[in-house]
Amino acid sequence: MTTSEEVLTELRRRVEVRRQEGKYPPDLERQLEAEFASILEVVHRGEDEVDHIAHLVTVLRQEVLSLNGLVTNQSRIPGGRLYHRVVGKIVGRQTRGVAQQTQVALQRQLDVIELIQRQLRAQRDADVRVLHQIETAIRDRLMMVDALAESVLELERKATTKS
Amino acid sequence: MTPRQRVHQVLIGASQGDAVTGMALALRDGLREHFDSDVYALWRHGPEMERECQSLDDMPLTSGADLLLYHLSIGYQEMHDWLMAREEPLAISYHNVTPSSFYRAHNPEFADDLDLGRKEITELRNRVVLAVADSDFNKTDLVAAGYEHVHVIPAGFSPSRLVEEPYDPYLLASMRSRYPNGYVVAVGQVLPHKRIEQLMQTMHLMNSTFWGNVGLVICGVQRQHGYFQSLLRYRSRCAMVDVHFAGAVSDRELATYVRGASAYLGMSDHEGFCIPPLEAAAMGVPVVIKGAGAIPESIGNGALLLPADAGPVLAAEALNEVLTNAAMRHTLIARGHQRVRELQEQSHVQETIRLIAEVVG
Repeated sequence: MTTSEEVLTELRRRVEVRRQEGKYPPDLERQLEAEFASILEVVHRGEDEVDHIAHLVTVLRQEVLSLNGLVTNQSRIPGGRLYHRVVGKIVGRQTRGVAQQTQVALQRQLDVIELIQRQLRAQRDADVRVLHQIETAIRDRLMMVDALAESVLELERKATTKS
Repeated sequence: MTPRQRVHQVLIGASQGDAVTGMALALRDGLREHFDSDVYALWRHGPEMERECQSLDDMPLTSGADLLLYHLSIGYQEMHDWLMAREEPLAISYHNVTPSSFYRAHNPEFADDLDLGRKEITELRNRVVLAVADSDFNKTDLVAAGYEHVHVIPAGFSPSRLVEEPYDPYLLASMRSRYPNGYVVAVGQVLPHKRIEQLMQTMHLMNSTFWGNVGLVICGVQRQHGYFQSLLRYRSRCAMVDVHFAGAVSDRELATYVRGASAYLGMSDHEGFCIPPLEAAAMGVPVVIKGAGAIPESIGNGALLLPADAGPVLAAEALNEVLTNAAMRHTLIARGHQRVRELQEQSHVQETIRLIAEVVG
């Protein structure tokens, strides 16, 4: 094999030939870039934020369920672990109670968020269906225009031949 | 008997299959011959990492370590605060921080972390007693931030690590059945700067121009929801290629995917040091890759190196050539092996340990 630079020169030459033959349309790379960028834009603009909300609600539900009012006894200070254990025993009844009340309140809030998320998803799905219908209708009409244009060209050819 | 000196390494996240984690663990094994040495991480993903690494919370406030070696590849506020509060002598191993411009538009939080990482390079400068970079490309960032003595050593990296890994016969059979005409593999986290969409475009163009019907397998953890969702949508537009997102894989699966591939393709726009194509070359897989960032100096003559601004059209032409021209294919495989041998023969771990020993006296 020759050097990479020679190989690249040959590959570039072939690409150029294919461009001239029309196998690679002009601006192909830019079109591909633009197509992906538009998808990225749509996804980030919020269509998938609805899915993201659902994911966050699931994560939050797990976190809320694990609330128990207890914290670790770990300490870097000598004797700290024993101190935290004793304090934990003294206030445990109160912290567990507060944790339970917080759990109930957060569960209700999550129920509300989930309800809103379902509504958003339903609306989004309806929007997508409508958009698909519109897109199909436009495609049908474009095909009709194409067919008519073909007929016009055919008629033109016939007219030119006769004249 | 005098107590052994202590040299510990610090990571933000430790996970299996992550290149930086692998390098840190390999370096730790070498360091333990001379020092007391552990790897500490803010996050340890999975039971194996919990066994291999210590939690950063478990490091005493005054560890008495003679040196902390911090692996810098991104910023994170909690780690930044922790580092600024430490008093031990500090060394950094710089693996490159991706420019935030790749992420600013669609993931500003991640872009902020990247900016913090870049800022950290400067803020730590006066405390750093030893600076090591994976590549000359990475060294330029440190030099630009005012570092005077930067050593270029890709420590703890072994391109042949997957060669001895047994392959999974069931996985290989399933890939053969799904891709009767073969597939091309790409390895790396599914992130925007890796330009996964360009991999798909390349394969789509190659198959539609040359009727190759060759598949594409992408091995790597999916880090960003929005980008991955966009790729899944885009997959239906690239109708001429069957794309398989393998996600995070074990070393055994990775060895199987790579070994079974007809070629390795890389289209990343930014790499501080690039290990996966070298691992592919070590397993006899020809590599076609865009020469961005540190890739040219990492891969050397071991791949068909495309220009840093190459698009999918040129890449498709190059890939088709490698898949159909037996002479070129064999030469690329031989060059890949040669490059791996060159890197393998340099004892990077020992060189790093020598530098560390000099610093801690």
